[in-house]
This record gives sequence, structure tokens and C-alpha cells, in this order.
Amino acid sequence: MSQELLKALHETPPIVAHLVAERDDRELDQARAGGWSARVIMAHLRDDEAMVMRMRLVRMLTEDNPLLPDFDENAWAANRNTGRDQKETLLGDFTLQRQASLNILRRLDEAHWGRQGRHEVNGAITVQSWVEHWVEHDREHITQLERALGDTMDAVLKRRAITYAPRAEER
Amino acid sequence: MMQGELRAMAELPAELASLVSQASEEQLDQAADGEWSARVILAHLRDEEALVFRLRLERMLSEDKPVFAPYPPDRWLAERDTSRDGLRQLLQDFALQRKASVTLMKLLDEEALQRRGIHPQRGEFTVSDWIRYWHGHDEEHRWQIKRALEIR
Repeated sequence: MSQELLKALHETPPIVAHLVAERDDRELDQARAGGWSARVIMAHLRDDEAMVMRMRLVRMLTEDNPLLPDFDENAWAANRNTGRDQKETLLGDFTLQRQASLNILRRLDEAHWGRQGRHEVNGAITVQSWVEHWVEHDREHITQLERALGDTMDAVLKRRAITYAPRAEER
Repeated sequence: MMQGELRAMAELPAELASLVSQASEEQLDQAADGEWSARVILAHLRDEEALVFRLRLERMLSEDKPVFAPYPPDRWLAERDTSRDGLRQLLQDFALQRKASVTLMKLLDEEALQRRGIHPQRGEFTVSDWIRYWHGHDEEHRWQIKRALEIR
């Protein structure tokens, strides 16, 4: 079960790369009414990886039942660092941060998956439920990215005649 | 903006790889009384990178003056994961974790460098203090590995 979660996390960076591969800067900055542009979604995935997803995981691993403060996404979007905002840089940064997270996740044993934390708003969580949320968060943002670009992963792969087969999980 | 520290920190994985490249398995595991072996120091650098140094950096960037929980080295030593203790795995894991940290540090502007955190024993410090301390920790362990390998 945990292997499937890790596989899903492993596959997200190449999915994002496929979705934005054919897009130029103007298209990446187009936002649908009230939504984030593709570029902001990519930056969000990168920054959340370090500041929210992995950070809470590491706190649950090194502290006993830590209190995890809420993270204000809107404040992030308003103040975010745009210093590494080129498409290739965002993709590279996100892929690297994700690999660093997976390097930690792959070394967890059974006891680690049951470790706990308390989220300020959502209450009690475990490493297991947090990683499930992490996968769900990826899925939501992939869908949001498809909407921002007016495209779907299926259509992209068909158009580019790619048979999508992510590489087998590294051991 | 701390370019010297950042460059040295980015180069540490390659320097360590070169430092241990000629070491035998026995040398990697030898330790003076009360000291750590080169292998344990490499595992310590890898784990502290993810579990202590970068974690606290990330918390200072995303919370207002977070209070850190101490993570003492003896607790780490007792609980540590030995599943990837091969030399190549340790070097690769550390290089990956360090690259992820350096990439985050490249995003820091002057305002971010002044953000603060509080350690129950060490008191209050800024992101730039923390990076200087982190760099000093690198240097300390680089010399410690060198000494551990030189035991005859």
C-alpha cells in the first residue's frame, strides 16, 4: 500500500513536465477566472514540497506528536519568491525536491508510518494519512493544471504520440 | 549574499566522496575511543541535512519565529536507519539532500535571511546565523572524517 503511494508521488514530476512541455511563457501565465496560472501551480508544488509536505513529515519523524501550524496558501501566493520562475527551473527544482522527499520516504519502516502529529485546523494525522493526503494534493493540482492550460494529460500524450510508462521505482 | 558559504556547502558532497574514495570498509568503520567512524559521520551528515538543518530553515521561512524541538545526536544514533549504509548509498543520499537544501537557499533574499527561529537552549537566531552554523558543522565533520580515516 505504501509502495503505491510512493509510486504515485514519483510519477508527478514527469506528469507536470508533459503537461507544460509545449507551452510558452504567455500560456503559462494565463489564469482562468479566479484560479492560479500554470506557473503559479508549478511554483506551489515546488514550495509546498519543501515548506509543507516534507516539513510536516520530518517533524512527525523527529518530534513526538508535534503541533503543525496551518499554512496560508493565499498569503504564499501574494508574497511568493519569483526568483526561480522559468519553466525549466521550476520543473527541475520540483523534481529535485520530490526526489529528496522520496529518499526519506523510502527509508521508513512500519513504526514510522504510524507516527503522529496534530494539525492546527484538521486535527490528528499520522505519517500514513499525511502521505495519502500528499498524493491527493498532487492529483488535485494536476487537475488544476489541466484546467489552467485547457488540456488533459490524455490529450497531451495522444497528440505527442507518447506511450506513457513512468520508469520503475528506483530501489 | 552568503555566496562563499553556499559554494562551500554545495561542494561538500564531492569533497567527501574524494576523501573516502580510497578507504577500505575497515577504515570506514574504525573509530577512536568515544569518536564516530567515517561511516557514522556520513550517515549523520545525511540525516541531519533532512531532519535538522533544512527542517529548521523551512520552518523559519514558513512560520513566524518557530520554536524548535531539540533532536539530540545520541537519540539519532540509537534510532538511526542503517538500511542504506553502503558507502555509495550514503554519498548519493547526502548529495541529493544537500542539493535540495542548496536549491532552497538560492531562493533566499535579504528579507528571508533575517527571518528568525528560537531554539530552547541556543536562543533566538536568524536564517543567516543558521546557515553560518550549518557551514561550520560541515567543516567540523569534514575534519572528523579525515581524522577517523587516519587512525593507524
